[in-house]
Amino acid sequence: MIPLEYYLGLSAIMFASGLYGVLTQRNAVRILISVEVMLNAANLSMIAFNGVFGLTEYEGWSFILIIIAVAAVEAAVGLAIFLSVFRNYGEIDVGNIISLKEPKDVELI
Amino acid sequence: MAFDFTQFIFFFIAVYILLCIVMVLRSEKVMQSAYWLILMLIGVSILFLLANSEILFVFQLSIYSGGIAVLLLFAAVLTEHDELGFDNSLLGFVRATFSQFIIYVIFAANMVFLILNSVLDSAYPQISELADVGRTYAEAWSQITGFATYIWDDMAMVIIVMGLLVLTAILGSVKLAIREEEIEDLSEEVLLRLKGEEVLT
Repeated sequence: MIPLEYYLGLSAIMFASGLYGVLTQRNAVRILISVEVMLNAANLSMIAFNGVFGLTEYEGWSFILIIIAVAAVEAAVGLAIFLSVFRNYGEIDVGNIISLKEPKDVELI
Repeated sequence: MAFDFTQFIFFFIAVYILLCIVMVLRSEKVMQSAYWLILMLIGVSILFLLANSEILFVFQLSIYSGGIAVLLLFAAVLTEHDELGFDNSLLGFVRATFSQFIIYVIFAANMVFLILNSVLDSAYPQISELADVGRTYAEAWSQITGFATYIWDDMAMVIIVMGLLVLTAILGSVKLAIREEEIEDLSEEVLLRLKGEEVLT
């Protein structure tokens, strides 16, 4: 029998690692990979709570199924956006893509 | 609380997952990060199996480790990477061959273990004991059919709306990824290919 705390501890470490990757990486594909790690951490905590508190096992499984589908869509849309960005900018380094940045030398009326 | 064999397996898989995450974050090339992510996703799927959920194990392997990983690998291919995977020397060849052989042995052992345990019905409860349930193959199968009935009965509208959202997002991503080129901007080689003529090299 695996206690709930083990799953939650591993999930917390995975989520923190993914968050670290999102905040520190500059390559857009690496950021997407870190987001996948965070989503997997959410799935792990979901299945652990479902095993302990769920009325039946099916509710948590449904949520995890939805999360997996959303993650697939997120990966597809994110990669399409990065492909479009690469076409326009020639790179996917998020530090250099500053089209929406507010210009400092423009006076607001 | 007694420390049983299941917890030992959990700690082993947890260390494996954390090692994979470290390698995902610390790898020099995006392609290597994607490979380590696939290995991490396989580890998470084994944790699903330990939590008595065979169906999510299959979903995780097929959708995450299959579909999403292929998407990420495709994106990594489009970034800058080396043509050769290992050094063009004897030491590099031996190192690459050894690592590939280890990975092959691990996956082959897993496959043989799963196939033997599913074919030999009497051996299947050994997997169930690992998950601390003690159920038989028929009980696990009835649980999966119960989940299918649940998502197509109570969750039917959610699944349908989610499917529409997924379809919309996929169509939007296809629209984003399509390159809209003027026909004059294409090279002569591409124009010949579009006309169905053979390209003389």
